[in-house]
Amino acid sequence: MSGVLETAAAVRSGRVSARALVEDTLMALVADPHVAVTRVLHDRARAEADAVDADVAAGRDPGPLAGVPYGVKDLFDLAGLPTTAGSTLYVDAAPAQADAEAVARLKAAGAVVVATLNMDEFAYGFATINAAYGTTRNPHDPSRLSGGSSGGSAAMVAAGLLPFSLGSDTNGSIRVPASLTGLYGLKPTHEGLPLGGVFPFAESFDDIGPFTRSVEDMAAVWQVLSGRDPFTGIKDFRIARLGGRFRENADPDQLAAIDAIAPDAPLVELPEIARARSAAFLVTAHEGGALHRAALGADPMGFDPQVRDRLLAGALLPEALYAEAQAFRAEYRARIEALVADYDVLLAPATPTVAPLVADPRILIDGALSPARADLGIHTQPITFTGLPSLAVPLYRPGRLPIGLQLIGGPGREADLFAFAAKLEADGVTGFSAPQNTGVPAYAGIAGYS
Amino acid sequence: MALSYTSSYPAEIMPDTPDQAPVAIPQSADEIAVVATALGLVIPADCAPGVAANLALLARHARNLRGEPA
Repeated sequence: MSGVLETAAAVRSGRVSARALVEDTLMALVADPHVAVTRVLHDRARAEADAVDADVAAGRDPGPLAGVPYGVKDLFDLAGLPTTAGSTLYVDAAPAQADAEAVARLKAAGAVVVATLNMDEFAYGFATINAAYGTTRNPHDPSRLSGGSSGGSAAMVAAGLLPFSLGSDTNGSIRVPASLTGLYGLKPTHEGLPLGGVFPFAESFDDIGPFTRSVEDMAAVWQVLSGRDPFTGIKDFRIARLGGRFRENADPDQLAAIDAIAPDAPLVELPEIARARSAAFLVTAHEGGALHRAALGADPMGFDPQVRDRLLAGALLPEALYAEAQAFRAEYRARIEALVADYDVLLAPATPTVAPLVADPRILIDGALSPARADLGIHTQPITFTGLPSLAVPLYRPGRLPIGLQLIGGPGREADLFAFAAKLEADGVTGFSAPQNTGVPAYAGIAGYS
Repeated sequence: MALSYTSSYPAEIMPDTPDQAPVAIPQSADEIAVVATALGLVIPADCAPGVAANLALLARHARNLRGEPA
């Protein structure tokens, strides 16, 4: 399927009907072999597409994203449907009264929501291994993970079934799957995009953002979601490479790319980065545990086993420890903002490795095997802690497993990141590569695929 | 979406001042049971090893936060 802007242009001009696009998309989603789709929204998608076509026929402006199909991680409210957050505990929850704010803004721009997409239960993980809905497969190699927790959102865009999707990112849940599936994925400045109607995880860090296959598509979707101008006049970027912990547990190709992009840029070491990650871990655990405490008391066995144990542990953390971590966070954010104020873009790895195997979801951290579910976010979690925007960009390497970098900017300066990413894309350093392993036989034997 | 974060610890085990705060993470089965009970939680037997392992991980992060040896 074409990208966001190309699709919208075709619909706006009347060359393609939104309804025809949606029918093709629905058919593809129903047959999806990636274990990425949790619900296909046939009726709603057709109604929205017909409304777009009616606007075009009547000569009305159908919006900048006219007829563009997209999916949402299964934690965005959709009017009339229960919001499951990837949990069977919420399958029979009361239907949402209204769309999430982000969904409403996209609808007003003409985009058509077609599916809800798989995730780690309650967004607690970097793997999209879900006991109820299955493990989402990586379109570049179905024996590997897509990453998480927004793995379904990433897989459907990487596979070419959707031009874009929405995910959420609490500690890296957009940037990690973007890196492992070779996409652009944005974690905005904290609270820079609307969180209304989004099932929370850890409110101190929760954000939403898009996945796309190009920078210009990312800027277009972000413009609709934020209402802000995605273009910047900046041409000469002040760049720094993040050193210290960010140079450890990284793929050699990531470090080589960073050094090639900015060979003379200073190596900046963020202070106390391990301490920051630990504080983020504690805040996340405590807020997640507190959020679900009532349900954990009422029906602990109803949770995904791996998520349940993490949430229960978080619920038992002392309040004073949480307060300690939050105090450190406030002081740390101010310190980091001052430190990075001299730069427009900071370069860092997005994930420590390419996608791990589904059969052995572990990764090497400091020379020891560690659960991918917990540690794929080793480079994203400290950035979340700062509240700064971070755009995951895919290194351009067709035929190889994807891996990405983070472009990190100052608060509210997403447009600078788009401009720098566009330059990297034009230079052939970054860019989307279509999966070469999409043949159906490759998916034989995957649970949930028939 | 109505869910939102609220303090986890109930008033009866929440001290009035931070100095009195219980900062130790429950580690042993007995400690875990005491805190869980105070919070109105029951740790199912099947969950006990996983909860203990996750608390041990969180304890390492707590030591790291405080600059203590891991």
